[in-house]
Amino acid sequence: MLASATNSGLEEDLSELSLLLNEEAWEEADRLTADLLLDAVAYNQNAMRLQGVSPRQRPYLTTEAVAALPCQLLQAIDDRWQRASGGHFGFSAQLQIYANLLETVDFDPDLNNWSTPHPFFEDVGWLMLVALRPVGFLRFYNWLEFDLDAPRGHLPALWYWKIPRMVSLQMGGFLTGQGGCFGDLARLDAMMLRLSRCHQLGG
Amino acid sequence: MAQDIQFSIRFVDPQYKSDDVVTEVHYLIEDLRDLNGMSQTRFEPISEIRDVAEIRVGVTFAAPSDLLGPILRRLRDRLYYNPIATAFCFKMADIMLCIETHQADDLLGFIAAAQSGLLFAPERDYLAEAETYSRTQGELSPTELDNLNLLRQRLGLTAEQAEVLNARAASPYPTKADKHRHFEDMTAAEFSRLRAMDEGPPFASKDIWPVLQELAENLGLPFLEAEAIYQTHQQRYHDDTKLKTEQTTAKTAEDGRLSAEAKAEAERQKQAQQTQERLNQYRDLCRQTMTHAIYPSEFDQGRLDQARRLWGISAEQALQLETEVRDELYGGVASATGVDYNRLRNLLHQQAWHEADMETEVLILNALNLDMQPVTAATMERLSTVDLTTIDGLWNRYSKGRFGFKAQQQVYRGQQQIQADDRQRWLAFEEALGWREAPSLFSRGYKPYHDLTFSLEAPPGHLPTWRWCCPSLSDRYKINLEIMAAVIHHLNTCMPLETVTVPALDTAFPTQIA
Repeated sequence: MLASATNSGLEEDLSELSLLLNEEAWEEADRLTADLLLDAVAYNQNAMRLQGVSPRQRPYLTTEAVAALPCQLLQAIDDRWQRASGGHFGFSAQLQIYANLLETVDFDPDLNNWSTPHPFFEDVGWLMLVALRPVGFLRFYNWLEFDLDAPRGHLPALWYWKIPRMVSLQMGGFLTGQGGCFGDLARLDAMMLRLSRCHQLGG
Repeated sequence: MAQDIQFSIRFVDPQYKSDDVVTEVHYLIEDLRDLNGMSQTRFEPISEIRDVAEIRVGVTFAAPSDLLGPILRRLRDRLYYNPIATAFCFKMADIMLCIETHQADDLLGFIAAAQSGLLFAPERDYLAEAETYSRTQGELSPTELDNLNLLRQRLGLTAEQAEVLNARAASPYPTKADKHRHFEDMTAAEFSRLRAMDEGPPFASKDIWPVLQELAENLGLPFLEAEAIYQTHQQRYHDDTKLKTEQTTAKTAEDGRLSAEAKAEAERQKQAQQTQERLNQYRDLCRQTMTHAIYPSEFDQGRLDQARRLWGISAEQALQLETEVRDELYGGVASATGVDYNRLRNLLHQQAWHEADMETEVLILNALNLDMQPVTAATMERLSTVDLTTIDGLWNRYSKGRFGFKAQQQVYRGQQQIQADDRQRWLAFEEALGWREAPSLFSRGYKPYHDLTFSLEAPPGHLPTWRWCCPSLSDRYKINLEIMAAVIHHLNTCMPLETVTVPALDTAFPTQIA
C-alpha cells in the first residue's frame, strides 16, 4: 500500500496518466507509468532503509522489487490503460496472454536465448523484426509501436525496458536498457506473478 | 265410651238397572241388620231420581264406633261376592272419610285401622292437635292447653286421658329446654363425626344440615333456634378446620417447595440428557453422510435437515456439529487470521496437488495480510502457529504423511548430518526435497516451478512448495537462502519436532546467492 502522504501526489499523477492516455499520447503515458512504478520501488526501498536493510542507490524494477509493487497502484494504472485502449493495452492484457501461454506452452526457461525467445515476447510484438522473421532480441524502445495498431499487450513496455546499464550489457545490449537484449524471463514472470497475486487479494 | 259413627253407603254403578239397585239396597240392609247389635238400628234410605222414577240407591245409618270393624268386614264380604261400584262414607264428629270402589280389598285398610282403634278414635285427634301445638313452639303454651281442653271436651275424652296424651305428644323431650339440649347434643355429635371424617379419606358429602333440620322438625324445635345452634357449632368447626388446614398447607408448601426443586432439577437433567442424546444422534448421522464426501449429497442434506427439524436442533447448532464432524473426518481448518481453509481441504481431498499448492500460497499471503507481497525473512515469523499447523495437518493428512511442513522439517533434520558448510547443506536440503537437481556443468540444477512434481510420487516434503516466498516462478523455482533459513527456523519454533534440537542459525549466513 502506498502511504497516505504520497496519495495526493499519486492522485495527480494518475489523473495526468488518464489525460495522456485519453489523448492517445501512448509513449508519454508509458514513460509516466514506468516512473510511477519506480517511485513505488523507491518508496519501498526507503521503507526498507528504515528497517535497516541496505538500499540500492537507484531504483530499478528487479524481480524482488516487482514482487513487492503495491497492488493498488498496479490495478490503478492497469485500469486507466484498459479504459483508454479498450482492453488492448495494459497489464491485464499482458497477464492474459502470459497466463494463457503458461498453460498451453511448456517453455523451458533454459532455452530462453536469442534464438528461441519466450513466445510472450513474440505475441506482444516486442521482438526485433529482421527480414520479417522475429529473432530473440527485443526491440530498442524507440522502435516500439505507439499506436493502437500495435499487437495486443504491446504497451505498457518501458517498465520492462528500464534496467541497470550493467545488466543491459550482460544481456547483450548496448546500454539501451532491455533493447537489443534477449528478454529477462524472471522479471517478466515476476511482474505477471505479481499481477496474478494481486488478483487473489483478499480471496 | 263409644261415639256414633254415621255411615252412608250408596251404589253408584251406572251399569246397574234401577230394579237391581233397589234389590241390592234391600239385601244390604238385611245383611247389616243381621250383625250383632244392629237389630235396633234405623236405616234411612237414600233416594235419587233415576229414569223418571225416584228410587232407593243407598242407605244411611248410625252405629256405635265399636261396631265399625264388623260393619266394614260385612261390607267387604259383600263387595267380594258382588263387586259393584259403591261409595262408602264414614262420619264421626267433624271427620268424614269417603271411598268409592268396587274392590273388596280397598276396604281392608279401613278394617285394620278400625281394629287398632285409631281410626275415628278421639284420642288420635287429640294427640295430633297436641303434637302440632307442641311442635310449633317446642312446648305447650297456656292458650294451647286451653284449646286442647276444649277439644277434649268436644271429643268426649276424660281429663286423665288428655293428660296422658299431652305427655305423649311432648315426649320424649317434654320441655323446650329438653329439646334444645337434645338438639345441641346431636349437633355436637354430628360435627365430631365430621372431624373424624376429615382425618380419614374425604367424603363426597358432608352436609349435615338437612338431617339436623329434620331432627329439629321431629323434635318440634323451632327452625330459627335450631339454625342458631347449628351455626354456632359450624363456626367452631370451620375455625378448627381452617387452623388445621393452615398448618397442613404450610407443611405441604414446605414439602412441595423442596420436592418441586428436586423435580425441576431432575427434569433439567433429563432434558439435558435428551438434548445431548439427540445431538449425538445428529452427530452420528453427520458422520454417516460425510463418510464418502466432505459435503453431504443433496439427498443426505435433506436427511440431515429432516433430522434436525425432528430433533429440534437449531440451524446454528447443526452447522456447528456438521463442522465438527467434518473437521474430525477431514482435518481441522482452524485459522488465527480468519482465512478459510475449506477450499484447500477440498483440493487436497481431491488430490489436486498443483491447485492445492497454489491455494496454499494464496492462503499464506492472505493470512500475512501484506498486500500479497511474497514472504521475506522478516515477515515469515508473522505467520501464526495455528495457520501453519492447519496447513501442515491438511497436507499431511491427504498425502498420508508424505507432504507438509513437518515432512519438510524431517528432511531438514536429516540434512543436519551432512558435514558441509551451511550453503552446501541448504542446497542439499533443496535437492532432497526434489526442488532442485544436482548442479552440472551446464546447469545450476534449478527448474521452473511448473516442472516440479505434483503427485504422490514426489520425494517426501516436496509439497507444499514455498512459492509464497518467491518473486518469480516460471523461469526457475528458487528460494533465497536467507528466507529459507527463516522459514525453517519459524517452522521449528511453531511446530517443534520431537527430540530434535534446532541448531542456532549462523548469523554470518550468506544473504544472497549470485
